[in-house]
Amino acid sequence: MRSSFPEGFQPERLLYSGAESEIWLGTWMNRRAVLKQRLPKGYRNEELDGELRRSRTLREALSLHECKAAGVRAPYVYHVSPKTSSILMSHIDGKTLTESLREREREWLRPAGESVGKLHAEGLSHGDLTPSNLLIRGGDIVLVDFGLSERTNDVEKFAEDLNVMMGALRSLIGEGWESYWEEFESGYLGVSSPVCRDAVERLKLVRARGRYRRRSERRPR
Amino acid sequence: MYALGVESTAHTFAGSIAADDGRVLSDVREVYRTKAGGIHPRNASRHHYDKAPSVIMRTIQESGMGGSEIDVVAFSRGPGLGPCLRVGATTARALSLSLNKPLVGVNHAVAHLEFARKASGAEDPVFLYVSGGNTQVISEVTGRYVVFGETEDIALGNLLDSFARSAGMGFPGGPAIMELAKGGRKMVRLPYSVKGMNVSFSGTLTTLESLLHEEPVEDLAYSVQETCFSMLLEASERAMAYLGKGEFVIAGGVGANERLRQMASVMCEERGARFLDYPVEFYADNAVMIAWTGLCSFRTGERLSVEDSQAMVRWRADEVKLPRRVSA
Repeated sequence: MRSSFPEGFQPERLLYSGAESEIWLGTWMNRRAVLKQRLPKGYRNEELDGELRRSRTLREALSLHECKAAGVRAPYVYHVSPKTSSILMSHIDGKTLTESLREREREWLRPAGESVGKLHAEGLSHGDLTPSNLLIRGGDIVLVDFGLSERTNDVEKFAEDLNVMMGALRSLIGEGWESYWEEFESGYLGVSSPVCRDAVERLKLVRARGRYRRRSERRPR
Repeated sequence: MYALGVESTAHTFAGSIAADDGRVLSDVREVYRTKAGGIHPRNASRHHYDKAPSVIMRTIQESGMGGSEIDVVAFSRGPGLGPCLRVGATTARALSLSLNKPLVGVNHAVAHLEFARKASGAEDPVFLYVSGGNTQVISEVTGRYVVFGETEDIALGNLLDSFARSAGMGFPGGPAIMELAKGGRKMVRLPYSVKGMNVSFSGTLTTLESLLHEEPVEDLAYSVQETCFSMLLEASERAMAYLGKGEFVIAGGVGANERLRQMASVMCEERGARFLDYPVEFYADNAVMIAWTGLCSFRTGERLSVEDSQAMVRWRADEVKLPRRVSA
């Protein structure tokens, strides 16, 4: 526990120690709140580290705000501090899509795909679209963790999001993962935006790139 | 029980005899190098053809055993460069037929990971497999290696070698860059491209080549190491957080870089995890790992007939059912 807390935030417990941040649950102004703090990485060059933490914190705060215009649910931002690279935001009480998939539930994949489709149609890529970053609260999908997100019109970025999701489904489900992906994809394409159709096309190219691809994933000729 | 291993996937032709109690009886390696320019598959395979007979002779002589005492011949069947793989496969077939010993094919990536696991004493780590041709974040899930993250374009070793080639250095370029980087001071801004557990290096190479005549090469070497190693460790740490695993092991030739291993140990210390290191000579391609993994497969009952022993250029680690481990 290396976090320092902003004034008025009463930490309760550490929710998650991620690759770049600690996520604390607590209260702020009598609300349930979550503090996401990007901690300095001792292994990383100081200059690079400072720049990454600052820019990701600002980008995340902005994306959390912007995705609401697309009709995508995300936590509300209460406070941002570029200096300590931390964001204070509303708490989402729900299970992750990963947990739901471990129980072999398929029903959330279609709405999850739809939320991601809306995000992309609005010109936002997520950057780390694993099922752990999609929460299920009540009947809604809520997206979190926008630190690697980008505002872009580059269909490549959207295809990379899909690639991460596809890879996660493959490793999480194992055999038979394809039908889970189809559920997600049908929700995604249901947004009926040309951006989503292009991204699904581009995904084939992204998967054909790189080394030692599976035979079925060679670059289409 | 003894295995004779043959390695020839890329730049290294190597032979080794290892025992199932963990002893290494011989470890002979010949590395294809150039003064300038990169690795040319055909030239590398010619190098292997030239070296194969003496490497195998020395492998047997240094072990102090006779060829007939070997129980199995193991070879690195893929993934790798086709022309190079075929030299190893041919050598192994010839050995198998002339010694009248069974043959097993070993996945080169799985051999790196299995040997790194044994040598480091790790139980269930997240692996960073990073070499000239590979950059993957891997961990075992129910008896299979699963690739959680990987490069979306070129491997890190490939980037370092290509940069070295552009800067007029020979192959392999990684060690030269490590030395140059020690003289670097200034951090030159390079693309930092991490996408969840995936990374991308192609933009980095383009940027480096465009800066080659503008910045001192020492600073570029320093910056490429700092930037790219950080990317790899961020992706690895994300996998550790995602999987809830507390051990980290590096495998593959780039792991021989001191700075990468030093950064890895800081990363692990800060998150209360363990970075498990092992003797540096086993990070690079070698035949000890092939002999070792071949022994494990052999004891699981695996056999490969000479007729079916063609090289598998694109054989992914996640397509292999893992052999039962031999405790040694």
